[in-house]
Amino acid sequence: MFLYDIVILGAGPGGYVAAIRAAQLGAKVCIIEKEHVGGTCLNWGCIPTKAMYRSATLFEQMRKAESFGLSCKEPAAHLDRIVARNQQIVNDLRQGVERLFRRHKVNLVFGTGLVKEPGEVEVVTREGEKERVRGRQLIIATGSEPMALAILPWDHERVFNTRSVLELKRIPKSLFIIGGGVSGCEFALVFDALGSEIHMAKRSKDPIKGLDRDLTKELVRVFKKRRFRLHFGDPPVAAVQTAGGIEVALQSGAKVETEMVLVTVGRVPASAGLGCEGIGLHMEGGAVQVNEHCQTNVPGIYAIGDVTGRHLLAHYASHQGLVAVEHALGNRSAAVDEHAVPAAIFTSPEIATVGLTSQECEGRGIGYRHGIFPFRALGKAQAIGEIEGFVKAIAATESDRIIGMHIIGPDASTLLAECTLAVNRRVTLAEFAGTIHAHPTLAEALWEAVEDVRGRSIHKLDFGL
Amino acid sequence: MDGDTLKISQDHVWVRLDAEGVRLGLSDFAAEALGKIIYVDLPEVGAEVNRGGPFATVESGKAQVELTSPVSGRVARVNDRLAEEPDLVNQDCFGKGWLALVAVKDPTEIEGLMTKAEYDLFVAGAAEE
Repeated sequence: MFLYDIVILGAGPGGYVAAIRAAQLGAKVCIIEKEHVGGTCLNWGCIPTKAMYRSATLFEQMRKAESFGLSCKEPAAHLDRIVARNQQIVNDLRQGVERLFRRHKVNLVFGTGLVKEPGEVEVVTREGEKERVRGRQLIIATGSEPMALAILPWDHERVFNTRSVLELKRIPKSLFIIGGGVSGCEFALVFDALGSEIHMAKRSKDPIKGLDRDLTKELVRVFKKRRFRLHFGDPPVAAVQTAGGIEVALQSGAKVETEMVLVTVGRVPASAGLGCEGIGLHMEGGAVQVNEHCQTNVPGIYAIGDVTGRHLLAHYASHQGLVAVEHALGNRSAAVDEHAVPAAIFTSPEIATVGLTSQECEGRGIGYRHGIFPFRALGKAQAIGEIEGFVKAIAATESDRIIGMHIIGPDASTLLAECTLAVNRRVTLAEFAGTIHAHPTLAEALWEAVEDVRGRSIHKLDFGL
Repeated sequence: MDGDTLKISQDHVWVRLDAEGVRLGLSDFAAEALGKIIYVDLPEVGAEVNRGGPFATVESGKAQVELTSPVSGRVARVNDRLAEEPDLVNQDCFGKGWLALVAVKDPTEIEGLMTKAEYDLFVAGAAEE
């Protein structure tokens, strides 16, 4: 039987990037995918939600047209056309990944893999045939799945998960988002923009875990400004179907009736049925445990991405994928450095963050100073009519190195790249401030926030208030 | 203007003791400095506010400012009209543009605050600095 250098289980953003890099490095690669290439990210996550986000924010801008001196009579949202556009984008990108596989001579097998032993995977193909695939090294990249909530099982008619909500047939008059988190907050903004009345509940007080406290405060303010009904810290305890939808009872005794419910309580590693236990893989809560080289405890088996239960981020999975193949193919120093893992959240305004938060600095006993600069003090922000939010820069007191950058505001996700480079390369305040930032751009807010750490922001004005 | 009971803090928040409790609002100087108010984030009715702690946020095109309460107590009512007409704060900051009504624990907390005349001198001095 043919022996591959690398066999990868799962063609999401972790697995497919690993496959292409391994091929570039000269390896013979086989990748096994049970559904669609691109994984959750491309098919049911990052990409379709951003396509939908674009429709929603554009619709919102159309309704604000008058304030820009424009007339836009009777703008209307057509969900069927929005969903069709999403589907087209997803299909095109999927084909793009498959083309990359062909170009790099990566063998793509559609089927479900079962790890029989290190180096050997039994695949039940789409056609129902059994095949054995052998490789010197195996990479598990099977991703994660939406976590279910016992009191609100998905029926995909009234109660949805983050996957089925992308195929909604109509815009709900009211939507109760349970669980919050990144997906919950993103969908809240999308459906608010499309005209739904939004309710949100979750166990914790914070809409998104791990955000810097100043961003959390601002995000909650944005939600209140949009008149979301917030029940943070008041989790649901029961639910019943009603004529008009679903009535959810909360711990406090409050009852909320909405037309539809979206459950976003989290994700679980997709490790069931892979044969992990059979080969003695070290697991915790369903997550395959790995070291900084993405090695599992079983020689010759690596794991990357959501199935490792670390950062559930597509780009982190891709990065782990690059590290895993480098290491598997002989670069023994290849390792994941977690000190600068960026994250972008597509609320409106966007949120983007890298490095340590104020709470993390305090928790770890790291002395820090911070600076804040509001976008509304920038000419560019005023010109484009996007003035909400701010940039927060955090520097270690001892070294003056930038250890955290946190943005809530226009184009935050794009502004994040420079911040990530700064935190990753441990840039000092002086080095960052000594870099010319083009005018008029939103990136000036980064420069101002960094200068504000030393009390030197040029355009920050406190009005003596 | 019943200038007698109106007092203003250095943080530009006015207070006025009336039958229901202590009413809080934003000073004329601050409203003018901020320009047209586009959003006011008010506390929840029933929430506790503490002297020296935040109780509301006002937002204009120029700035977003967290306001500090000069008194401690429980929020009895808030000015719901501001949800639709936040610029009432600009039009009538000492009247229809009030922010919140607080059932105070200690009414003497407002004694140390400035009269309107003292406050006007205070902000004139601050402007010259």
